[in-house]
Amino acid sequence: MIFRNSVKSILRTPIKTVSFAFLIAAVTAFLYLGINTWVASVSMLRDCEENYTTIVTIEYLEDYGSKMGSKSESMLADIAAIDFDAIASNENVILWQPSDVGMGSAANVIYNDYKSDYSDSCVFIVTGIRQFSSDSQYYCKLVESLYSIRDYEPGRTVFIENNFEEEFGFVPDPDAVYVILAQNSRTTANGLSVEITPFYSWIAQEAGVDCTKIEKIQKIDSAEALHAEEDNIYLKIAKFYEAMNNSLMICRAREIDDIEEFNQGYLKPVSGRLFTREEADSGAKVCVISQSLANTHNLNVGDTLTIRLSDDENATMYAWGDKMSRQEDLTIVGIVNHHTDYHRNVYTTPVTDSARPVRFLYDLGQATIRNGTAEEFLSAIKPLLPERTFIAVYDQGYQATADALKVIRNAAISLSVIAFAVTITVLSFFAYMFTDKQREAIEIMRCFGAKKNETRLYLIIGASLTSLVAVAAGILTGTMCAEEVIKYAYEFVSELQVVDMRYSDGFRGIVKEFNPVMTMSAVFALIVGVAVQLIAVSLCLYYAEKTINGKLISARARVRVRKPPKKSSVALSGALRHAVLYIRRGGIRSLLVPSLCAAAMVFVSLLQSTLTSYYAAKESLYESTDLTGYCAQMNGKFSDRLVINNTHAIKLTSMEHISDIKYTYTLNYGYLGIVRHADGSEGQVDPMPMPGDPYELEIMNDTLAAQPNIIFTDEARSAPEFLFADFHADFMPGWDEARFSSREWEILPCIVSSQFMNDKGIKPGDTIRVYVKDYFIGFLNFISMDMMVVGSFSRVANQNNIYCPLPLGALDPERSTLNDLPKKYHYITTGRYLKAATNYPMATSFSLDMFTKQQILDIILDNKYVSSLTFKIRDPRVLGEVKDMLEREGFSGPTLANDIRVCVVIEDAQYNETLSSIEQRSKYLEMLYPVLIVLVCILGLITGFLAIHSRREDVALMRGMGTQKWRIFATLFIEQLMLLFFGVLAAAVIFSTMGNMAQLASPAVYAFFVCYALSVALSIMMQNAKKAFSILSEKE
Amino acid sequence: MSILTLNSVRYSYSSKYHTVEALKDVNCEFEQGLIYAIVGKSGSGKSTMLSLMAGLDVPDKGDVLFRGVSTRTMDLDSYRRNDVAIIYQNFRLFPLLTAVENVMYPMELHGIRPREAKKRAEEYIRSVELNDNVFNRFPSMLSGGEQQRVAIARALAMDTSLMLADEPTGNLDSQTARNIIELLARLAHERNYCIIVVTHDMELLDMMDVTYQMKDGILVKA
Repeated sequence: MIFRNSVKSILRTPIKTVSFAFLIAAVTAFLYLGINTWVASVSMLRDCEENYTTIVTIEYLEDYGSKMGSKSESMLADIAAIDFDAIASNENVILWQPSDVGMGSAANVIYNDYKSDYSDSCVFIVTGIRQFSSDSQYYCKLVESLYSIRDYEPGRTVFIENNFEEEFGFVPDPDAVYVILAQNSRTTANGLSVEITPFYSWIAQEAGVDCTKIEKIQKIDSAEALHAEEDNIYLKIAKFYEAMNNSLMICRAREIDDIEEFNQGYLKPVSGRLFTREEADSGAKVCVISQSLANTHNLNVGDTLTIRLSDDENATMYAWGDKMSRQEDLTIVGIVNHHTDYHRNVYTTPVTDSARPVRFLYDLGQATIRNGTAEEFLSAIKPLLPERTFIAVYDQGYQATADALKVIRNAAISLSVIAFAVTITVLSFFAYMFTDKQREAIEIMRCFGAKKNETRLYLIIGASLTSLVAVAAGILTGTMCAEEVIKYAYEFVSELQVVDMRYSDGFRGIVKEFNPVMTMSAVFALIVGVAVQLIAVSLCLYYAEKTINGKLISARARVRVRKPPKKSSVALSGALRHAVLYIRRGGIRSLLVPSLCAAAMVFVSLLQSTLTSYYAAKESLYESTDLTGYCAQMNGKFSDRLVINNTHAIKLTSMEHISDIKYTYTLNYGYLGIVRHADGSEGQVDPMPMPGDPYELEIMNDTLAAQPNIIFTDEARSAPEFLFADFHADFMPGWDEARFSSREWEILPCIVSSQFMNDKGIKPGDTIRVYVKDYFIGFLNFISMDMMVVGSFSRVANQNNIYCPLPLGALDPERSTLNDLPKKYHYITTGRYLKAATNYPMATSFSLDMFTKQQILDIILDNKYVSSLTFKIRDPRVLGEVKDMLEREGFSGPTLANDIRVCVVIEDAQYNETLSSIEQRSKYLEMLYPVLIVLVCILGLITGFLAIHSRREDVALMRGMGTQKWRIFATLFIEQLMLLFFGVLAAAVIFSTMGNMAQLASPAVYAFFVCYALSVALSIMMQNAKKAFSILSEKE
Repeated sequence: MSILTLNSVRYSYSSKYHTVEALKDVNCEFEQGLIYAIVGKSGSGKSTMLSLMAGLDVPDKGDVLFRGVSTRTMDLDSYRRNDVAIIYQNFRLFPLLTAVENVMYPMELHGIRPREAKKRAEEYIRSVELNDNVFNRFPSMLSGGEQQRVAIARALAMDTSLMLADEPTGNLDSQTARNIIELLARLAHERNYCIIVVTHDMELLDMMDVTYQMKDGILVKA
């Protein structure tokens, strides 16, 4: 009977039961989703940690010129000063792998890579050099190929393209044996035809070998006699070619998976596997090679690869005369895909535990760090590193993913707490209502002698059944939605956090896909459901006890008695009088409305001012940020030795929103002397080098390529040399930086290093002469340039660069002085100056005097390439637009090749991070703002309605006494309006304290005010519209 | 001439589940200077009839005539303000106004200034045999009898000829009830009011001048 009656009490109040059941189901679902999302996001964060690896690579920015692989004294000194142990022992470092890269070769591995530097070079022993006839080509028989990229059998006929008499001044003896140095530019052809050329190598030069003294063709006794000479130069040259063309890069790593090319997915195993950390730690002799190496030499997993290494254990590059006699036998455990940049690499285990890089080019090493600690790690190591360092972070997209998950986790925690509080409130309210409404029933049951336990059961059964059904429905709904909620939240937050990393110096490499796996736990759902049900039942028990013991009933019976006034009021009259009387005597009611109004106003104003502060912060960031961009190597590393076609450079410089463009052209120069002193007296200049033959020219060109540069720039202080140091220059009287940078010169001015001035005895005002390679018309050997020294600077680079201003037409064909030429040339556009020059109508003899210095320089630089280019984006607001333009035009970004193989980098990482932080917060608030305003409005509408609803008895009384409707409206409306104004006053005081009176002018802060007033007005009108009879008849 | 006449008045209540015909063809007249009682069982239609007489609604059929003018044609608010005063069973005093302020209210409706209204209110309260110490009390601080007297004083303050009382003694003890009815009877006789009292208390009928009985929606003279 108890059970039956309890259930009846639920079923016969369907609206209340269903409403509460719905409410409980909703808060249960809400709570479950909050907790589930929290737990899931923590689990996903753990997965994320395991799924990503963050590496930091450190590279030294060396000023090596054309001697790729050479290391200057200053570079070695800088690196010697680095505390690598401190880097390795940094708390965020999981593994520090110092660079260990050395050149090696492999037995029986001949890299038939026709793109190698010396792929055309060959060293032959030949005999029988003769001609068929006096005007036919020379030919001979091959005795032995000391070196050639292709195998040639002895006895093979070799055609020689040279004219011996003209070029060498002798006719070879057909019976003699010669060793020749030659170029075989048709190595893929069936025939063998070579051109005898001189040998030049900066490696040989640096080893003290004077390449100019090596005969291109040398008579020898025999091949055997040549081989008998251990130090024979031709054997060394052959060895040199073999080593350079067949070189492999032996890369040693402890954790090969973390190495950049593997971490970034450039290389992946196609067969076999990568060697393990255990194998590396134990020094196992294993290796991983490229597919191209494996295919070319028929190597498979399990085969042995014998590598030859330099005799000098610490050598990175081949040293002249190196016998490469050290050997290592490595078992191939894996083969990786071919990649242009890494196909010569052989990866093997390390041989040293040192934190210092032993063998390195410019990469110093890389650290595998704990995910999410990049900023911390960089702050710690930057003081340990020299300025000339390029650091790249690759996190595979961890930060973006983890940030999104952390936002979700934090939001889920907040929502869970709120949901829990709301759940407790709803369940308390539910329990109270269900037991309180049953108090009459309880009284009757007790009157009929029902035991306390029975009344307790009566109260609990119905409420528990309701809550059980509701909780079950809530959990079911929650479990059905949980996965979608998490997926949607992750996508939503990820989208909000997307930062445009195109062309950014903050580009962190590839983004590994992260597909969070969410497994719904039925046990977890059950636990949450049971917990909520237990809370519901506990609360029902609590209130049931109070009801049974009568405490609730007596609490309701208490009547609050107000303190009466000393005398009845006669102040004011009419509707205003009663409005004021009710406000004065309203007690809590008179405080509630102003408080709500003031709170709502302050709340809305806080939202607005927070949003405004975000906008202001954004504007301030825009105003205070100048973004710098530059052209770089394809990996994003800054370089002043780029090869940027003028057409591409103009595309970049003419883009909208790009300003402060600084660029340089470089020309290697040879110094000839002082043409004229400052006082006008004649100086002394060396003659221009005149090579006797093309071979000498070639050597001269090679030598010139290793010389310092003339750097043409529109602003010397922005030149790459001064990137890591300050620019200090002294100018002679009448000259300053501005005048020096001006392009409108007649005599080319220059500034030289003070060191150079001292070395060469140059004084300011002297005119010096240098020679450069002919980029003017292409058939002169060299061209001389006279320039007046107008100042000196403190040298930073490793060589004596000379700085000159640009000509008028550099990257600006419109202003080119070539346009002054009498004949119009339609093709005087970038890259066509040479054609214009050669088409210039001239006398039978062509002379440089036909052109001004400006014109000559315009043409020379137009045929060269821009070496470095930097720019600024003054208005960060247009950053997205600039990136769109760069992408449209085809420029590449760091490690992201596009149509134009010119990499543009914009230093926007820091800016993006700050902007992203502001934008995320403002976006969240922008989304919440209208919702919160609506909630405030709803609050106003509801409280206004309730305020009048609670006065309906007064309205009934007034109607009963015949009070006019307008008077009823006026009395109540004036009362409520005055309460609202008190709230506005209170808010004004608060705004004044906060120094934010301007908020009073914002319409949105009056949302509550307006909605409350509107609701009051409508409610009064609704009450007035009813019949007086129905109002008076209304039951409570 | 009768001050109030009911001619063939019919009135019914409709709800979602059923319709109740509260008044079926009620005919009666009321005159000034008399106190009338309308008795009947609970649910017989007494209070409904009183409400129609008070101008709180108009009958479905028939007419309620005040001084020959049908309530259908008049401004009911004006009628309730100027011509009829109602006394309720549960007093219906403004809870946040003192006894004097409650009595002042109808006078203020007529444009009397507060000071003057206060003086008169105090007189009215004294006239219903209440002490000065009730003047500044809120209704919640008064006993049932005191509240009802204040309600009568308020009705007097309306200065009308017709006074309707719906179970004015319903919440009072028997002695207080008799005192209230005596007061009303005196007002009717001495001030020429027409006072109509709806009651189910038979013990008060001996103080009434005329008694009507409501039975099944029909009014008959008892």
